[in-house]
Order: sequence, then structure tokens, then C-alpha cells
Amino acid sequence: MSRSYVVNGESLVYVKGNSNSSIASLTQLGLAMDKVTITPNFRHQDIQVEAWGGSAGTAAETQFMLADMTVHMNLVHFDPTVVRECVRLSMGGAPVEGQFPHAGTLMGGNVVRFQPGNNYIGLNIASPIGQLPWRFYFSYLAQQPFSWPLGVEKTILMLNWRIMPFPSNSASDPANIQGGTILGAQGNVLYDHVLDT
Amino acid sequence: MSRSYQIAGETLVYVKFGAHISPSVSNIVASGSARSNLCQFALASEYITVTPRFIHEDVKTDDFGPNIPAELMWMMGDVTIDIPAIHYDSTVLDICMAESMGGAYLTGGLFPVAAGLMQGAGNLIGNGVPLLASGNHFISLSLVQANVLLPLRFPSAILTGPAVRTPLGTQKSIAQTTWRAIPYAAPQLTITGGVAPGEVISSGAVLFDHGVDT
Repeated sequence: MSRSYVVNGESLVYVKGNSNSSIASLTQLGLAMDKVTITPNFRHQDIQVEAWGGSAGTAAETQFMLADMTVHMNLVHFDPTVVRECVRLSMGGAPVEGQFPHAGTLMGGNVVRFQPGNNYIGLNIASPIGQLPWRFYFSYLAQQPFSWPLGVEKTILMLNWRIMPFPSNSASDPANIQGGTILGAQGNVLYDHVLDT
Repeated sequence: MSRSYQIAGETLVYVKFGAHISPSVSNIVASGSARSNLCQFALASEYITVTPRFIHEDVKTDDFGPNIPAELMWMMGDVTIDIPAIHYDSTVLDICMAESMGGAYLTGGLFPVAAGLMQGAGNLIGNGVPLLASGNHFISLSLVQANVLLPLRFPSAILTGPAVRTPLGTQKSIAQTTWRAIPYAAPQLTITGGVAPGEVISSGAVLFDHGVDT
């Protein structure tokens, strides 16, 4: 592929939740005021060897210990109903927005993607010009999840998403045993470039 | 084999019980439905630590003085396995605890396992029968590692000491389990190599191996 200016185009954000949610089918969330920013967080662990200086030296090798991602967006043209549903799911999927489930509720609920009980959201970003859409399998509004200004001017809604490497095998089991072999995270998908349907 | 970093990979813990723990036996497990006698037990939250303890006895002679032995005698060993279980089957843990407490049974002589029920003080764990036979309450503990071709199996293990430390609350529970594996040997059934029936022979007793329970 040759070099060029990389233009994603109008990056419409879509979401899809579990089959019991009001966003059970792929639903438009909104358009951003400016760039949607995707930031991976790779985790590597150093292996220190005395021959390379031990704890005073640098690593002789590193191990890749998976990753998560953050996605930040400032929405200016959005559907508040969809945002509220994303908030409800991100709060552990209590029946009503703003309510708590039990503290400690598992977001994945030990079920596969889009099954009732799995409160992770499929986050999708279109790419009409660049033809490289992004699909994040297991996401939720995290930390300071949103900032919602209220007033006479248009609301620019700031959203912070976290993308999780949730075990996506049929049993939602971190061991991920396939054909008698323990695969663990091998083959698990953090993101890809095909939109949900 | 040349040197390399040794990375075991994802380690899944399996347990296998004596034949008295089986769906074919009328099993009543207090916290859930019956389990087969080979079960997945747990994934660990961090390292599983295997610590063998070797016992050697000094043989002293006057010629070598009072402090340093002239020879050593091998006096067997055991292994401690620490497993911090985070993704585990609580019913299987109940069975492990009950078996480690002597394998209590309810009236009638059957071996349904009731959670929290203790066997009488002084009861034997192996009961003089072969490993995995009905009535032998030792547990075969296997560590199956994704990156390693040879699993680690401890054929005669029990929970012991501070056997299970389980924090309870809204956060996920990490059950800190402490296992002890000994080289159990069932009494001889027939005369073998001049050894009479009923003798318990240490030679050939297995502390651990690389086999796979089925």
C-alpha cells in the first residue's frame, strides 16, 4: 500500500448491546464534533536476568500481557436515548438508567457477546472515506464516562470508553479450552475492521 | 534440551476423586448437583507455587566430628502446592474440602458428600485401598499447562493446614488453597519380591509424575 494522507471520513459511531437492551440491533449513537481518538494500552512485562544487570539493568526480553484500549469522543449530533442506554449497560445493566445493580456485578455475566446478562457494548466507528471501520467487541463507558453540559448552547457530550479483552469463546471461560487444548487469550479479539450488523 | 525462559502458560487445575465420587453413585453434594470424579477445579489469579520438601537424615560418625555427617539417608518427601483460585467451581471445592476432612459420609455407608461434614478424628485418608479406589479420599491433583507438554500430577494430595482462605464480599473471591501431596502407597495385596501382604512399601511410591488423569 502506498503512502497518502489518511482520511477516515465522517466517523459515525454505532453501538450494539445485548438482546434484552434497547440497542439490540446496530444503532446510531452520534457524530463527533472533532476527532474520535483511539488509544491502545499494550501491556508488556520485562524479564530481567542477572547477566543483563538484574534489577539494575534493562530487560533481556519482554512478555506481551495483552492489552486494552480507550476511545474518546465529543459527540455533537447524537441520540440521547441511545446514550442513556449505553450508560445503563455500563453501570452493570440495572433495569433503569441511573440505578445500581449489586456491587460487584460482572459486566460479562459469564455469557457470550450480546446474550442477556452480558452488558458489554459493541462499539463501531464507520469509515466512509478511509474504508477502515473499527469494531470494538467489548466496550463500556468508563472512569469519568461522560460529561454532559446543560444550557442554551448545543450540548457537546464527551464520552470515554474502555475496550476490554473479554473471553469471547462460547463459555466465556478465560481458559478457552478448544479440542482439549488450553488456548487462554489466544484468538481472542480486541478489535477488528468489520462493522457489526 | 537447551536453556530458555521457562513459561508454563495458562495453567488449569484438575482434580480426580476416588470412585466413590461419581455420578453413578447416589451422590448428594450439598451445594449443587453431583460431579464426575474427574473435574476441572480452577484457574489461578497468579502463580501456582509448587514446593517440594526433601527429607534427608544425617549419618554421623565420630571420625567426622559431631556436626557434619559422613553420609545422608533419603527419608522421603512431600510437596506443598499453593493455588490462588479465582475462576473455580465452588462445588468441586466443597468436595475437595470434604475429602480432605476424611471423606465424611451419611448414614447407610454410602459416600455422598455433605459440605462441611467432618469424618471422625483419627480416620485414615487412604484407608488402605489403592489410589482412586472407592474409599480412598486422597485427591489426584493435576496442573495442566498450556505451553508445557508434560503436566504435573500429584496422585495423592489433600487440602491441609490453612486449607482454604476465602475472602467474602462484593469483589471476586480468590480462594487461597494450600495442598499437601505425599507419596501414598497402598498395602501390598499379594506376596511381591518377598514382601508379605499388608506391608506398606516406600520404594516405588509416587510423589508426582507427568501423567494425565482420564
